[in-house]
Amino acid sequence: MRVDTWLDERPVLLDERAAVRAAAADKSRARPLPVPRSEHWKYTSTRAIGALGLEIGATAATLTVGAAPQGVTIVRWSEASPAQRAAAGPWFGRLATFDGPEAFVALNTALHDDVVLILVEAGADVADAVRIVHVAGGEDTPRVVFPRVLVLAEAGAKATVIAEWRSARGAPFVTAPVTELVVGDGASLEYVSVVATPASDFHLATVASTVAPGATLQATMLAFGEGLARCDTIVTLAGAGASVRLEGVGAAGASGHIDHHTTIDHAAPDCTSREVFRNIAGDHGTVVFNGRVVVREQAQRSDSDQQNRSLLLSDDATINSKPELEIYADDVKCAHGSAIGALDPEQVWYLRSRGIPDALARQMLVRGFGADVAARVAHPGARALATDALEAWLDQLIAGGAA
Amino acid sequence: MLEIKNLHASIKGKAILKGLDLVVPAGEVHAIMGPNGSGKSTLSKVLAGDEAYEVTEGQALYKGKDLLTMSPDERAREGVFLAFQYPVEIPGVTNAYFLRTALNAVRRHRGEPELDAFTFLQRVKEAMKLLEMDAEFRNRFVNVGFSGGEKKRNEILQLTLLNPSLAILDEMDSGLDVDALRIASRGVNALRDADHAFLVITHYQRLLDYIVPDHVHILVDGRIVQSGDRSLALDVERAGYVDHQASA
Ligand SMILES: Nc1ncnc2c1ncn2[C@@H]1O[C@H](COP(=O)(O)OP(=O)(O)OP(=O)(O)O)[C@@H](O)[C@H]1O
Ligand SMILES: [Mg+2]
Repeated sequence: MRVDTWLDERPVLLDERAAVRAAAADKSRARPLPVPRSEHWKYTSTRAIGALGLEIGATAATLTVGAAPQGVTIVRWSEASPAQRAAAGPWFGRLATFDGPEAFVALNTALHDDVVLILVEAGADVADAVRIVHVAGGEDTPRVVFPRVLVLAEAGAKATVIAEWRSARGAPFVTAPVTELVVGDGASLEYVSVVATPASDFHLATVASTVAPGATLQATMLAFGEGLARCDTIVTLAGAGASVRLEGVGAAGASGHIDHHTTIDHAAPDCTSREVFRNIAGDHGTVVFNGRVVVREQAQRSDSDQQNRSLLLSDDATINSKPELEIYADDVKCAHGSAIGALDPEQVWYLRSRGIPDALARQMLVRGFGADVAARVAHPGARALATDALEAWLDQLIAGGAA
Repeated sequence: MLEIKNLHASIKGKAILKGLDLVVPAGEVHAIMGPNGSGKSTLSKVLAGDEAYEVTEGQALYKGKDLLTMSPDERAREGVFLAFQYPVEIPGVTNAYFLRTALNAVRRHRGEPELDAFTFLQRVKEAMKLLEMDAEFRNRFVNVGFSGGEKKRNEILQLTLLNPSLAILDEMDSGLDVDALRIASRGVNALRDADHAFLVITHYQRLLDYIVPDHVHILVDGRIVQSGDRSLALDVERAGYVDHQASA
């Protein structure tokens, strides 16, 4: 990666982002890629990325945003009004920080070409989902892009955002998006992300959010693939009585490597978090789930529950599942559970006892393994999208000889 | 319909069925009673094809065909149905999807066209109405969070839809309240005719007031030790299995 050249050539910005960008540039020059085998990158190596001979691409060519429903304004930072920039400016780079072991957040912050701003008016009850579609690949030469999205749901707003990360295949493609979600006082935001990464591609995403007093975030993170996907999801419960439901599926086939790293930070009292992740690894695939839950000293009466189940479909597949609980308050309820297994023979037998052939029974069970996560998506359109994506991908996993 | 000769079966090396003989002709209902652990569920699972059990000796013919060499799903498609004593929960698979997949697998095998979504829905609605089941059970995951009685009712729903030739009911009465027992029995009785046969496993005479058997067998320690008419069930209810244990 020619990070120094890219940094030298990027346009200088004299707006609200300038200071954060400068700091990010310094970090990127010093350390463009994550430190191999560091704790945060223990199970996922990004070394192959350095050798790709990447050119930097423009997100104008890969990122499309659907129409804005009533109550929502969608605008690129480069075209935003001073008022819009003033609203978004204070949040930019505040949630997706890069002082830790992260590398791609710094790269994105330093090198992104524009920001998609999604502004939901205070009190707006938005029925239609806002849809972002990113199509990676389809190029002859290896490329990297740094999409950047900032969603600002003002007080009392209700909205749904769907982000689809697809691939057109072609030469190796690296997508390193950063999404920041601000859920204002009493607001309710649903975010659904569907990542599909073919063997040639790399997806290195961070979604960082803050949830204000009495507000709710429901996020569903689906990542499938035969390539490499690393999805960091960070939720800060910043105001009293905030809540989050964070769910996800990681599924890897062929030699795919899918890694979900989540952090739920209980930073205020009386907050609730519910986390459910499912890992499915077939063939030579690897799935990683690292679920960190932090309960700060001031976060009394926190109520958190993390459940993670993993399904291994082949002897050559690998699952790494690790809960990390850091609890500094004393009056809290924190539960977690984790289980790894193959398909349950009792379930296969029950289906077969009803006339369903063995292969179909297994297919139904693999599909079913992630189906409840997709079924809990609240927005009907988003739910259908999540369900279809999951089914298609798991069928492919089974067809690949995994089950 | 079903002819079992000298059937021996074991699980994890432990012999459970020890030379069981039983003939169930088409059109008849046979009840099996017997003490806990005598092998009733084992018999039902061996007949349905649970691969956890090993048949070490003997024979089971279904409609003249060797049942024991067929795979479990083949048996089901051929018309053998087991209503489980403990139905299995399947998270992530909705009841409707499960029922439709099973029904179409059976129909394809019989050379009947698959049911489209609409016709299927009509059928399920009808069957659920007969069994007084709430429509919401269609969209719930198979048996997940169902009460004991609801699971049993779901078994009878499958029985009603799949319309098997030979139905084995393993303690369908356990966990059912009085009303549910009456309703579920109605579902079973609706299928009774000259082409259907039933093997009804129970501990209680009461079920046999609803599903009246042609014959009653007593299973003790892996063998049928006594057969008779329905009055045998009344004897058991009164005196227990003490005499049978001695004779086994
Ligand atoms: N998976 C297993 N592993 C070990 N032993 C088993 C297993 N399944 C059944 N058995 C044993 O086989 C014997 C017969 O069990 P079975 O379930 O057939 O009895 P049953 O007649 O149906 O009893 P109940 O009236 O309690 O339902 C019991 O002693 C039981 O413990
Ligand atoms: Mg039993």
